[in-house]
Amino acid sequence: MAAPLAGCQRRPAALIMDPVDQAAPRSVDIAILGGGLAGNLLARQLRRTLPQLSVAVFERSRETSFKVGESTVEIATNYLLRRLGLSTYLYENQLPKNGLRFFFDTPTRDAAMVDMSEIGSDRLPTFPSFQIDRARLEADLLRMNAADGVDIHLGARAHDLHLHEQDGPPEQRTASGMHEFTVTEGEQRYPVRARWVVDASGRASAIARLKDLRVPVADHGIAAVWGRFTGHADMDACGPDSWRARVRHTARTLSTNHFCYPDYWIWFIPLGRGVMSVGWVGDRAIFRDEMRKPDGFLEFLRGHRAAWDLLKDGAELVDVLAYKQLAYGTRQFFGGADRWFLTGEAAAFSDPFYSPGSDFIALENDFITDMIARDHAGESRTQIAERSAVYDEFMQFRLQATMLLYRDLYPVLGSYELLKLKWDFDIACYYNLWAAPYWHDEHLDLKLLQGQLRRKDFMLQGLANFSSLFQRLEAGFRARGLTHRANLGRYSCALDIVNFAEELAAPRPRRQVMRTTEAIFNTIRERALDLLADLGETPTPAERRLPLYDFLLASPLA
Amino acid sequence: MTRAEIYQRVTGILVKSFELDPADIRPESRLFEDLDLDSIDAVDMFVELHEITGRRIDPQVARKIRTVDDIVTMVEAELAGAPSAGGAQS
Repeated sequence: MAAPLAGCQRRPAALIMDPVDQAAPRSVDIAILGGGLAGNLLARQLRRTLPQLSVAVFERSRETSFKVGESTVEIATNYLLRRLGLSTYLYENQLPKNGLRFFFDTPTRDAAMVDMSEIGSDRLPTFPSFQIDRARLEADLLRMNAADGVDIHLGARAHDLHLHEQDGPPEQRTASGMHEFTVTEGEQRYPVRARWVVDASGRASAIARLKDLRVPVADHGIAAVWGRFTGHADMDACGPDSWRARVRHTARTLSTNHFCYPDYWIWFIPLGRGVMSVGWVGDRAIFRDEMRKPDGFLEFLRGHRAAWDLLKDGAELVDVLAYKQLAYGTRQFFGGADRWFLTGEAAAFSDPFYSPGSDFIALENDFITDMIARDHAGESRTQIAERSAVYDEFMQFRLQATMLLYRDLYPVLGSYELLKLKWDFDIACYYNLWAAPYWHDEHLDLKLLQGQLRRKDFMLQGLANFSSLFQRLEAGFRARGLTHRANLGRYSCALDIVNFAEELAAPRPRRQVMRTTEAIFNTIRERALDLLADLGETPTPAERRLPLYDFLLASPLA
Repeated sequence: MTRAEIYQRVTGILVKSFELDPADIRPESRLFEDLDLDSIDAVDMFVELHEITGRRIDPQVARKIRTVDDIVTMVEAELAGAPSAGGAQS
């Protein structure tokens, strides 16, 4: 363990500021750069798991600010409830989420919301999730972490990072054998040494820049603009009683509401206390610089009747933020043997459509905590290196699989029929392949993970085959002018396809997972074949049902 | 790798992965009917074969595989780097 800070063997107190610029180096076991969601959740996890290690968080801002990424899904929520013990906090201070909900429009974008076809739940989903006010959650976590002995530094800029890499060339090693960086905090500047460094500083990531890890994602050019509104209309007071009865009077407001169009979508996510997050995500070809400004954003929204109906009577836009390019990857997530790690947006980001950001944080923080715990318990550097490589490969696999959900598929969003097919496929695969294994901590079992990684090329091929099938259907629909044919008046329950939810309560043998995979694949393919028949296209192979291996080879599914 | 060696590797995979009795495995054994494999087992077998050959499994060939001998022929063709489409005969 690093030399503990004075008087903080069990519950590390705050680093005491030296009044002079040339301060003596302070030591901490684990330094977390960035006090946003990823960094604060990790700090909490580390205190709960490894209370004997000191943890310090260095956050550049003095105050938590509005950030996008309000909607959690089932992996992240399981992490927050089970791993971090935040159940009471979340139910008392944030909003329970009513799943994802999708609405569809006419080509002229003039449908009223109540006339739009809709995919969404008619009951609160079995597996919980939340709508989170990020600024409030982060402020609360900072407070809880400080009370729990995490050494919190706000308005503290960490810079001049020097990672100690034991097997690197001399310039990559430090005399202390620890990672070293400098912190500027107000008028003060002091050096810090840490045994482990975690970069949770978001897109600005110091480690990604230092090690040149960032990988551009050129083939998914998606931009986003978002802002907060107050004074918006109550979605659940809209329309006739029959429209509300259709979802059994559960709150649509509590869903992540997507208004879907070919090549883009608009979100409505409640943040509680009268605030609604509204955002646009779409192809960069559609993005215009004016949309970054309040007037431009409002003008864009005004062109969409259903969304505008919720805003036009007195809603006030509080702020607007934008990213011109959302997705990026990383060459490496973790340097376990060298004791550095990336988590959250410091590492990678895919696309917000299914809100995967906090799922990635859950996985990354679990892996980081596990590696630090093993290292601290004396596991060899070789063992840690092997585990780190497997965890890294899994994160890359997870990122690749996530990108396959979105890449080249934004045109599909504009059609109720096509997004219904794709959504059913995506949500069933999510529960079967990713969420349930997480709930049972299978991601921390090296043998299970290695087994999964041996099959990853086949699984990625299978997902890519479905992506191609969806693209083929969309092209056919568009060519025949059918994209919008079912966009009014339809309703389907979002989780109907997950008819295996009961099975997920306990760990399942791999064979059972594969059986479920085969069933999902065949169900979706059969429905796709029916849509192809509508288009007058004959599938090859013509069999209605295929064996699992046929889905996983490099061959068209129809 | 000779054909005999490939046969040994393939039977080794079948015995280890699917707990088959080596005595039950013959070149002409049909995978699904005689050895009682199913579509999930086939995925596992393809993963193992992929690790031997380092090449993508050709879907056209994979669909024609019926017997142990067909697998050996496919692996042999892929190791030789030959176009393997149609290499397996049922």
